[in-house]
This record gives sequence, structure tokens and C-alpha cells, in this order.
Amino acid sequence: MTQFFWIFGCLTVCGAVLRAYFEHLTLKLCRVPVEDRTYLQRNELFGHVEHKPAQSFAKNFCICFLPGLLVCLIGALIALPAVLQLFVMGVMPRNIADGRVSVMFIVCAVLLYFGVSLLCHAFPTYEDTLYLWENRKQAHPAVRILLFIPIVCLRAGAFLARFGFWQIAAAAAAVVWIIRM
Amino acid sequence: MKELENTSQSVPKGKRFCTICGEVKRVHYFEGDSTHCSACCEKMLHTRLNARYIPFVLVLLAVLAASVFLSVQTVSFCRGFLPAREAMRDKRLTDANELYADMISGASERNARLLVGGNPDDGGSIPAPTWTFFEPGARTWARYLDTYAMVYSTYDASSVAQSSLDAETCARVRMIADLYKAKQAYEDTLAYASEVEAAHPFEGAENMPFDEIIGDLTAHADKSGSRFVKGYIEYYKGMAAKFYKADDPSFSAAYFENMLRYLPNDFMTAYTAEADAAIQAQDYDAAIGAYEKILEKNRNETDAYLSVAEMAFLGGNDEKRTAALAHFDEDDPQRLRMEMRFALRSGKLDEAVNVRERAARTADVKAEEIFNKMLADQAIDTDNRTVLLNYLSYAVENAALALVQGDAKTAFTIAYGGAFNYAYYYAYLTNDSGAFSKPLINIATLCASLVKDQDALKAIREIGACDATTQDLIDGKLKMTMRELFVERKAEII
Repeated sequence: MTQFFWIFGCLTVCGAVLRAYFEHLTLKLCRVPVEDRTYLQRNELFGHVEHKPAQSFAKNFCICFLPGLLVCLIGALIALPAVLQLFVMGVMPRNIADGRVSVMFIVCAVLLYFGVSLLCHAFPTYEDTLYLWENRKQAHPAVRILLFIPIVCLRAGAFLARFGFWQIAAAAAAVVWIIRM
Repeated sequence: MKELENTSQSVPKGKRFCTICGEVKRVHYFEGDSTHCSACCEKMLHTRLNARYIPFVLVLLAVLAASVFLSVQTVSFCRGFLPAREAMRDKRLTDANELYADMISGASERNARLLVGGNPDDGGSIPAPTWTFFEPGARTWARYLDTYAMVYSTYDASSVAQSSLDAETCARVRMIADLYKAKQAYEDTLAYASEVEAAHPFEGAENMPFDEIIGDLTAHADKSGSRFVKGYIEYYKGMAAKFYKADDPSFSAAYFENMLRYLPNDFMTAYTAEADAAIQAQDYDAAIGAYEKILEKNRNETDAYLSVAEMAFLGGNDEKRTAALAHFDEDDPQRLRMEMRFALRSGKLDEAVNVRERAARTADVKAEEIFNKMLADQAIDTDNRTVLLNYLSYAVENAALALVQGDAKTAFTIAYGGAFNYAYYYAYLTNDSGAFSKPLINIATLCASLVKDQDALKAIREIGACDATTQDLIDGKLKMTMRELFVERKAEII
């Protein structure tokens, strides 16, 4: 399982690095000690930062949620022009007119790769989500209700991410798109 | 951070082993159940970001900046492109063409403001990398949509679409890729058809060696592998058939339909030729059918609607005539022109006068506004240009009505003081002499000669001479009343 995560993580290494950077920044912001600043470890912590568990629910939530949010935003921004051009405007790999390779297609494919790489690292480690789940009892009941769905989503996403699920899904979508093209 | 294990020393009560620094310290140096002493925790709080991965981050930031820039360009491009594509899919090709043209001119202006902060003609403008990709494709799209929709007689083979934007739309205009061959084929086939005609001289359809001509044309097509040559040969066969059997439009229609097998995008040429053959045979229903086929392909083709209206009028089909004209607004000069034309031809002068009165409140006012604005701005935009040119055609019919009513002075004011004057300044400002249509020259000359205004005649002749029929009328060689000319249409000068 760890090997899967690591192997698929390597395919999306840029997302892993950025995710780890944002996580490290969030940990510093929340004054949570960082135990190891090796971002690309060959285990489940690939793309994450090893840290002590945060004691408060708020800090735990920030650690789980903020880095992923930032990575998603940046990934979406990077992927946006590619999605518009490839799927809305219909830019194709070759010009119909002269059969030459379309440069814009290559540019969009690269941007899409970067964007999807970032989006694949939107979720925290499963361990962090477990801490979050346990710490949620500390929160006010209204906050617990409000954040119940996001926390469940984070947990589910993190669980799937352990198996490289998001990378596999992205790769499968890419294969389907290439075949249909 | 590697945590240490206490393998060597026993930990006394009240003390704890720190797994980071490896020291045994008092419990109060630890927070809660933590295995790290406060000093080590404090150090861990200040762990610096790993500098080894900064290049990754810088690359990502650069990609982000590029994608934001590209997003802005893409969104602004989509705003113009998507409505144009929808128009293409909806078979409103003329609308699509205008939308593409607007998109390109708007984008160029934005490009200029973004990069140069002014007029790119001032020199030294830096082309945006994204517009290098988009603009050539978008320009050629507009140009070829224009070709596809209307301008089928000239092929600009020097321009080829630089990028394919949409598979579905590309399929419709696939001929773009072959336009080099298309232009060459067009010219070659025209030259060959002339040779065939010269090789088989004849006088009159009854003496026409039709089979030999068709045989020669077919042989030429068979030798060529180009679908363009085959298509154009079918066209010339159709033209030969139209001459050979003028009373049977279906005979030539078969060739024009065949032409579309090779040149599916050339439907304007094929169906217009089919319609001409039907008009020649006075089979107005067949002509309407041909124009309706054009409209199935391009619902924007305004001339086709006008032609349907005219054929319906000639065929006595009021329903189709009304339906065709309903595509135009009531104050549209094209509609006013057709209604006046039909009223005149029917001899219903009251109806024609009603049309004139309606036009006086709408089209006349609008035309004058456009003219005054054109003089003030020393320029005219595309929409106003179209309205003004259409108005000139209406004015010709209006002048004809005045002549039928016996009011040469009013006719002269309309034809010369109004329409010719508008056309003159329009041509002066735009260098486009297309406003001086033959009907306009003819009626202006006729009116000027009736009121004996020599200055006006001289001014008109400087622009162009009237046709022989008009000259004969003026010289008295052809004697005809205005009613015979414009109502009974014993001669055609407008």
C-alpha cells in the first residue's frame, strides 16, 4: 500500500512538493512542532510533513484543510485554461488543415498535467484525519455539525489517497479521453 | 527526524528520556505525555522550510503565472468564439462570420491596450504569445467562414487555418486544408471549359454538340484525381445543360446536385445555378425549391429570402412571399424595396405609395442619420454600411414609383439628390464604388435627362455610363411609357 502511494506520488511529484510546502507553512502558523522536514519520504508521508499531533481541534482542522485548499486553488487555476481549451473549445492534437502538431495542445496538456498533479494531493494524511476525528469532540456542537461533512470528506479522501486512488482515477480519465479523441 | 531509543540507561522516577536529544530530564521539562522535551519542541517549532525543493516551487509559480495569463486570454477568446460556434452549428453562417470578425477586431484592440497601451500601429508592439496561437486561426476562420457562407467565387489560397479549434466545426469547413488545390483547380477548369467551348463552335441550343461537350468535360474530370476539378466540371456540365435544355431545369439540376457530391460546401454556387435554370424556364416553384435548399444550409442568407419572395411573387404564391419577407423587419430597406417592387409590378400604385409612406417614417430617416453621421465621422461602420447600401436599392424602386406617377422632379430628387448623393460620399470615404449599382446609375441618368439637369448628367457619367436600354430610352430610340417600363416591365433597367 505504501509502495503504491509512493509510486503514484512520484508521478505527481510537483503536487506533492507544493502540498508539503503548504503543510509546513500551516504547521508553522499553528505553532505545531515539525519533526522531520523531508517532504518526499518513501512512505505514506510522501508529500507530507512529519509533525507532532496538534492538541486543539482548530489547529488540527487547519492542518488538514488549509494546505489542501491552497493546493486545490492553485491546481484549479493552472488547469483552467487547459480545460477551457481542450474540452470547451476543442483544441485537438493536430491541425486539421495541415496535419501539423498543435503547439497549443501540448501547452494545454502540460498545464493539465500540472493542475491534476496538484489536485491529486488535496488530502492530508490518514493519520492526521484520525487525529481530527478524535479531536472533534473538543469543538462546539454547532461547529461539529457544520464541519461534519468536510471532515468526513477529508477522511474518505485521505483513505483513498493512501492507495494512490486519485492518481489512478486521473490516469484512467486521461486514457479514456485519449481513446475518445 | 529520527527518534532515539533509550537502550542504555534506566530512567529514574520523576524523569523522562527525550527521544530527540537523547537526554534524561525532569518531567517538568516535558509537556503532557510528550516524549520530546520542551527545548527540542521549541527547536522543532522553528524548523525551516526545506530549501532543496524551492526550484520546484519556483517552477510551479511560473506555471501558475503563465496559466493565469493564458486563462485571461482564453476566457476573452471564448466569449467571442463560443457564440460564433453556436451560430455555425445553428447554420447561421453569416452571423457566425460577423461574430468571428467582431471577436478578432475586439481581441486585437484588447491586445493592443494590454501590451502597448495604445495603437499598435505606432510601432514596436510586442505580440502576446497566446495571440500568436489564436489570432491567425481566428482570422482565417473568419475569412473562410465568409468564403463558406458567401464569397465562393474567389478562394484565398494563400491563407490556411493555423490551428484547429473544434473538431465539429472543422469538419464543416474541411475545404480549408485544400484551398491551395481548390484555387488552382478552379482556374484550370475554367480555362479547360473555355477550350472545350472554343473547340465546339455552334450557334443556338438546337445546334449545340451537347454530347461531345459533355464527353470532353467528363474525360477531363476522369483524368483528374482532384475532387475540386470533378466538382467544377459538373458545374460546367450543368451550365451547358442549362443552355441546351433551357425549358427543362431538372436536366441541369442533376449536374448541379452532382457537383455537391464533390464540393459539399459549394452549395451557394450549385443551388443558385439551379435556381437560375428554373427561372430561365419560368418554373418559379423549382426556383423557390433551390433557394430553400440554400436556406437549409445557411439560415442567414438574406439574399435567398429575397429571391424566394421574388420567385413567389412571380409564381403567384402569396403565402411564400409573405413568409419570406417576414424574415425582415418592417422598416428594413430590403423588405421595403421588395414590397414596393411587387406593388409596382402588380400595378398597385396605392400599395406602393403606402410602402413609401412607411419608409418615409423609418428607412428614409435612418438613411439620412447614417449619411450625416458618416459625413461627421468621415467613416462608416459595418452595420450602417449594410443599411445604407440596402437603402440605395430601395431608393431606386421609390424613384421608379415617382416616374410612374409622372413626377419626374420627385424621382430626380430621390434618385440623384438622395441615393446618388449618398453613394457618392460613401464611395469617396470608403473607396468602395460598389454602391453605384447599374440600376442606380440607370435611373439617376434617366431622371436627370427627364429634368434636363446637365450638371447632374455629367456627374453621373463621370461615375459610370447607363446601359444601352436606358440610353435608347433617353435618345428616344426606344419609345415606352413609364408604366410600360416599370409596371409592365417591357424592358429592365432596374
